[in-house]
Amino acid sequence: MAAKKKRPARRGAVRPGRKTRKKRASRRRNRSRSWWKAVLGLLVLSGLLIGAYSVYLGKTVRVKFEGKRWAVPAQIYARPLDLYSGANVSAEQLKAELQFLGYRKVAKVSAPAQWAQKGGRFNIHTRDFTFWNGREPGQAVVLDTNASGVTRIRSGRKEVDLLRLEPALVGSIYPAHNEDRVLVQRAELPDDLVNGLLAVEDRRFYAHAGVDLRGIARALVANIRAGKTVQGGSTLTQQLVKNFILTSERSVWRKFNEALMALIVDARYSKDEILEAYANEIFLGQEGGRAIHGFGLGAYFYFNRPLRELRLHESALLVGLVKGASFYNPRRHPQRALERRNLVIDRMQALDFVTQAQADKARQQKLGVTVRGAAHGHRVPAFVDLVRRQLRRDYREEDLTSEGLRIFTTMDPWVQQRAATALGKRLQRIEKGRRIEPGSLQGALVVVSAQNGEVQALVGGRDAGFAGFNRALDAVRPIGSLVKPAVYLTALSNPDRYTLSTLVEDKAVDMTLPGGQRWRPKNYDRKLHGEVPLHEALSRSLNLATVNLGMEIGLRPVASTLRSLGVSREFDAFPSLLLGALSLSPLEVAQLYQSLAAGGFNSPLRAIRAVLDVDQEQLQRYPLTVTQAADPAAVFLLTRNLVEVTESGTGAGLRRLLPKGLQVAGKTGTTNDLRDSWFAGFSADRVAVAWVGRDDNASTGLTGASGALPVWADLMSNIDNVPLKMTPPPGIEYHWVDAAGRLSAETCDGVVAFPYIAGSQPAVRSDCTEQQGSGGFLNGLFD
Amino acid sequence: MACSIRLNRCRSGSTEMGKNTMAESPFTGFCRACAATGLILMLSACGGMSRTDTPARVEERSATPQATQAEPGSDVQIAAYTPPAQPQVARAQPKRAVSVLMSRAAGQRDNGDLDGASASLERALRIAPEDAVLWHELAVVRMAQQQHHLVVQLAAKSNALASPRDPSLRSSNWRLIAKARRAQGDVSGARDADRRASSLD
Repeated sequence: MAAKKKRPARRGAVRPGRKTRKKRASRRRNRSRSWWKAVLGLLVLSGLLIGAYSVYLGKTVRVKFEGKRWAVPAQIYARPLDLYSGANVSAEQLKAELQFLGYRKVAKVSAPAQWAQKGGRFNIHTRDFTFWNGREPGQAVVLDTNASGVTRIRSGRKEVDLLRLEPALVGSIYPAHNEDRVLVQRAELPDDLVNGLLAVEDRRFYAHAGVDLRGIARALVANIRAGKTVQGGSTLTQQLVKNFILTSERSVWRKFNEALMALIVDARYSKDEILEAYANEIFLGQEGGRAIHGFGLGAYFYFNRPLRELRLHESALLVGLVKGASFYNPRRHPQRALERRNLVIDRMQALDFVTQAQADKARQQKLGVTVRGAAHGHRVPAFVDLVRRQLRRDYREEDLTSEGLRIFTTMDPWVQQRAATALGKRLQRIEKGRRIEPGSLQGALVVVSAQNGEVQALVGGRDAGFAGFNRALDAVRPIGSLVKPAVYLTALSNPDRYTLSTLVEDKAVDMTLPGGQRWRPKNYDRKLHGEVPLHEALSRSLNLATVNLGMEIGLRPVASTLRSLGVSREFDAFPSLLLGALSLSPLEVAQLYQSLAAGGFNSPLRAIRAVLDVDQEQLQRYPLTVTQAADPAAVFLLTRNLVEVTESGTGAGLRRLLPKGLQVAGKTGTTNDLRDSWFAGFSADRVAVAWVGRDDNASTGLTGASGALPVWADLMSNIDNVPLKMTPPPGIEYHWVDAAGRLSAETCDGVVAFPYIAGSQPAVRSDCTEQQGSGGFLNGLFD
Repeated sequence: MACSIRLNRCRSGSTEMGKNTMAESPFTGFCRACAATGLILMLSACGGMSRTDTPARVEERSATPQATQAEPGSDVQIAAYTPPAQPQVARAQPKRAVSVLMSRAAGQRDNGDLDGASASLERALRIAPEDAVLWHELAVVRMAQQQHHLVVQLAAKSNALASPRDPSLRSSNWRLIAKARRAQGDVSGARDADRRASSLD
């Protein structure tokens, strides 16, 4: 534009002859006047055009800035940890929990999210957190632990009855275009981060109007001197416009658009607004198909802590990544990243944003990034998958990936971690010990809270960090003998006919199935055992006794027991059902056993407690519900029988593997040709189901006792469990019975006390009876 | 020590529950009554007797029937008999954290914050999943929310966990069940539940 103005002036400088001077002068005046007019017209026209174009761009900017700026993925939280005197939380677990939360270990606690430890004593300053049922303010506490857990919590001189640590952020549901982010506000941006950005990317951010001519000139000089591009002249505003609104195409036209839009953005929005948008838009890394956007998520992704808690060297690293997140990837190229980070610190020092001492200290720090996989999100893909499926019943996929929902789940990160380790390590050991091809075995593990059905952990395969086939939900396999408890529960619910000591016949079975197939099942040891007490038929997992018993009570009642215990999948009530010709996923098996563990009360398995919207308003709660599925007295008898399985039956291997005194109930399951190895069982407070098999469904060479059982045992030994107390519900009586199932005196040889539903004890007495005979003192206990 | 704690719980139990709940959970009355019996129980327990009020014979007996071989040569043993766990007192002393949550729930309920009350009780149940009183209290909140189907189930759950020595709690549960069934139009079921409640009173 400036050039156009000068042109006529230069012409005017030419000196013509005198004669024609006047005429020419007037002609010239006319011509120059028309020139001016043309120029003016052009100016006005281009001004109008630019104006109109600016209005158009302005509208684009406005739409982008003032609408919903980003699709904000739903954030998924683990369960919060309740701490109180008497909580079974060991020092080891507490340390792990503090690590999950990204608390810093320090010598002396002086700020939120810090902790210190001396022996069994912890000093912890918790963070503020808003839950679905209110805010929990951060506070500094002293917490004492011993071998059995937390003994005392104090805040100053005050005893703290109940303390809740905020839940760890464990994942997000990001949209199809794979941009994941955690939104932050301007006020949450640490000064170091902002100063670092200014120092490295845009020194005159607060002075220029969106485009920095001086910056461009300085960059030009620097680049000419270096002979290559070493500096960019783009302002933060231009970078924002480029990433946020425009495509990444490189052209002069785009550069022009970028500059024009930067001017518009700067004119229309405050510097703080621009900074906030920049901080949320910036690309900071890639993990598989997931793109890490914004400093908010970046802080979690690299340091597992909220942005506002970052220190100088950490903020400087994030700033350094702006130039090239993959080139300076601190996990892949730590040296490069370190140099870049220190350069950021140098520039900050040069501009007096930090003192020499601060800069020196920061430069000495290690990078401090978390190990890959341990960082925010995606260490629990199987669990996030379950949460997502449960949410899909109530929400549109679009809302989950864009509305910034906060989802509070039931996941227990400590149990989850232990479960993943138990499965991975044990499978490796089995393969090594049995010379099985390494890596050929697969497995799944589900842990559920016994009384309320909350899913605490879900492992979908031996590489728990890998988001692949989720076997815990999708490996739908025949459950084999895991079905037997339903057969025996059906029998025991009919106390007039069946008790634990009733004799059942373990004799050959030969029948034709619907469809014409002949069915001749065998016992695992291929023998016939004749008459055996019912409890033994189950604890030894005798197939033939079970089929005979099941056919006697009928397939329909057994099928109906299975349904009330929580099996919702369709299945055929064929005789082969009695031996587990019923295919379920490990999660579905967990539902079945949860009903047993809860004394016959079914609670639908839940992975979510509550959903909050972006303004912390509760959208939904998933309350605790129970439905009575079986008679508690019959379930008690069955549970006593399942304890026997783990003490002297097919699951007796547990005794070597479990800590002494941990009484549990459980059942092994093995399917044809040793394809599937199952173990399902429970303590007083947790239900766990382990499955081991192969993805190609070939034989593993493992029974339930040699494959899934040790996995189950490793898990249960490594988390705290309350032993089964076996408190009989009302209506249960104990009686002494001999090996033949006859009532005997308690002083007779070889007698065992069995629980009976009142009135169902055997009527036949053995020869060895005394006056006080049946029950004796025992029944006095339960009047 | 046990004596004082136990009496405290009775006291806090009766103050925590509001007027309207008194009607719904008459077992609060039990608390007052239990102060007397509890005191006697406690005094006897503190008076140098063993903590259990079961005959000392139990301990001797538990060891006598040795693990018996079910069949000669069989690999299966019938587990030796261990005496079943049995409640020492009608209601065990809850953890302090549970009492705190219970009184919080009672306060929330009195203020009409039924969602808050149920959240507090569910939280307490995560700490003490087998506490029959908590299940009962949750049933009371659901009654106030008129979730009758759930009330019946929660009260049945409480009954399954309640100590045989706690007829008062079981009777309260049956009364809740009766009320919920009546609200659902199940008159005969309600009458049956009332009869069971009366038989326990």
